[in-house]
Amino acid sequence: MRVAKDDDLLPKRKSSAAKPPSRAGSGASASMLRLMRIARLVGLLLGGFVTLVGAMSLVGFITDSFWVRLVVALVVVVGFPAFVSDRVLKRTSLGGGLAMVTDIFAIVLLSVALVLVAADFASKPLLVREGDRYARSGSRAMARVVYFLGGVSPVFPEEGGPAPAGSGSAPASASSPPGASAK
Amino acid sequence: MKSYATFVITVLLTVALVFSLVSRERSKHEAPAEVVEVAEAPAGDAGVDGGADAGGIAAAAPEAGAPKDDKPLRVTTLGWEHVASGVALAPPPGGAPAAGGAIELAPEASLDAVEARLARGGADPQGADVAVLPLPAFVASFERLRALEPRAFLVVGFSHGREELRARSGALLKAPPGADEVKLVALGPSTSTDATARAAGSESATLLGLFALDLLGVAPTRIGFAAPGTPEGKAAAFAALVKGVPDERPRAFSTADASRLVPIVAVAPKALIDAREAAVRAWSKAWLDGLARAKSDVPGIARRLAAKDALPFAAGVGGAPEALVLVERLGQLENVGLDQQTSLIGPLAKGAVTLETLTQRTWQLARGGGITATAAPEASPIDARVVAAIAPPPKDAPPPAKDAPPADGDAGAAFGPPPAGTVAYVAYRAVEGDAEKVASQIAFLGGVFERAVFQVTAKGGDKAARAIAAAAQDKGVAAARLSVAPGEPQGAFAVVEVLSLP
Repeated sequence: MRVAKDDDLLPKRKSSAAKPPSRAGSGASASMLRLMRIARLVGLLLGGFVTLVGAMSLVGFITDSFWVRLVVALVVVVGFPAFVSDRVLKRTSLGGGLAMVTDIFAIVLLSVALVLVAADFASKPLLVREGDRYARSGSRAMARVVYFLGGVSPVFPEEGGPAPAGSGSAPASASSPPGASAK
Repeated sequence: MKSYATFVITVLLTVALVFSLVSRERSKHEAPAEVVEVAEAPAGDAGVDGGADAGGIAAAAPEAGAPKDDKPLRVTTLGWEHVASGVALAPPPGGAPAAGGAIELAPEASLDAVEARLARGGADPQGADVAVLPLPAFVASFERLRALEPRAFLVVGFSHGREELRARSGALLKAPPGADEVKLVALGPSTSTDATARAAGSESATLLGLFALDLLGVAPTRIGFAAPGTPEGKAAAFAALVKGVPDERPRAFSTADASRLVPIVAVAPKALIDAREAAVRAWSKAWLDGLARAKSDVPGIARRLAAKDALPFAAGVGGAPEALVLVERLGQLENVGLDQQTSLIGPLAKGAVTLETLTQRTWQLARGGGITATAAPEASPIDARVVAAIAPPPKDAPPPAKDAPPADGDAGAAFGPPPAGTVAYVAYRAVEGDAEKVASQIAFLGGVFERAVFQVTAKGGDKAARAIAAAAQDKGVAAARLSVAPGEPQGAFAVVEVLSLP
């Protein structure tokens, strides 16, 4: 009785000598593949973040609750590119597996982010209001990032102008002239 | 090839996004302050003493089942010292916010700015729901804010020495002769555009001056305002200025002496009190608690305010005064606790000096002096709902002494001469009237000048003076604070000298 050897059960390994070690199946070099992965990741993160913030600011119309805004925005950020990927992959013969899906995610999210930033007449008030929410909740860093996306440079209360040069005898108030006739 | 295409598209989109984000023009935006949750004052820790009515405190809690009010109350104050309570309520840097209502603080240096914030309303990050300011300033601004139906709903303190009246020697003891115009150096309608007058005066100081001249019997139509430093200002006999302003006239008295003349009130639009009464109640209790806390750590409060250190400031707040200035100004405030509220506001406030009587008097003086052009509203702009819900009833006033002398003056031996060494602040001259009216005025003065004694002289001599003193005693003025003097005043039915104890 012949006992199967490991080599018999495992799929036959393609000879690495057939192709140069620096080449992959698509013909891209290893360094190029790494660059593509990095670009994919950066696009995914950047586009995803801007889209997420934009979606949260949109949900902010309905509620100020952070968790509601986050969950709804996450559904949008994951669901919309997933839907697009599904449609694209079904109707075309792109193939490419997970890498192609990730690419489509990155492209969709970056496109949405670009539209958001380009249409600042509409998105600016939304993003500024979203930044205000973070400022009020004490998340200064997040507020600054969102204000940056909204295209404004924030001035926080503590960063206001210097104290007036008045002396200690400065009055508590000085009203404008009332309507009564002056004596 | 496909992966190259997607790579190129991804890179292009990324670059385009980064470029459009980085290269866009940025306008300045005033970010709102962090909203800090403040703890609602515990029932036993809000200035309520052992006799507090637990029912009153319990009523202050939001009604069961009432919708939770999460919106912050934005509070603006006229002067940085009035925001001390909010600073005391704010957690220290890194401290955990406590449960309760949220507030934002907006101290302002001018009444115009306070009015602007109230006009914007609390929904605006640069607006305000509640204003804390002296009563004379509230009266001065009422005309401009009338559409908001502003209501004073809480007395948070009294001004204590911030305003001073200066007068030539003896000028406050006899009426200015003839029908000449009496010049008062103060912030008034004719001096409000003068920078020096605006820097040296305030509505409260002007009210102090008008009050003194009114006691002297000077008709409002005879009063003219002068700015400090002008020739007519230098020649004027009277000056009503804030403390610390140099003036050659000797100091006659200040709000430290007339310690119940200028209350600091919390004001809110009627619509806000209607809509958010529970939140306003919680804020009121917390604010009064914060006042007590601030008093126990004045250096810390002044330091945090001066540095604007991790405080929940609203948008658009300017620079803070130095810590030394804040310490001085905090010393010029006398707090009012929760247990004193019902003796000042509402149907249980029966004394001679209540927010109602002070508002009427302030309005009368302000209108006479031209600070406001409108007559007092038929019903004073006071809302007693909040105090009625959160404060215990006033302590029972001691009943009038059984051995009080009868009003006919026959048993007037109780009124001795004033203590040796007393100095007259001001004289109240009643040109005409009756004993009852003069006695009512003495009762009011007794409430305003908490530590003063009164010497009465009247037409008809010692007997008439004793009758007035007896009537004043019936109105709650202690006999020990009343004295009579022989002789008759010239040109007046009665004269009451307000004397300081040595």
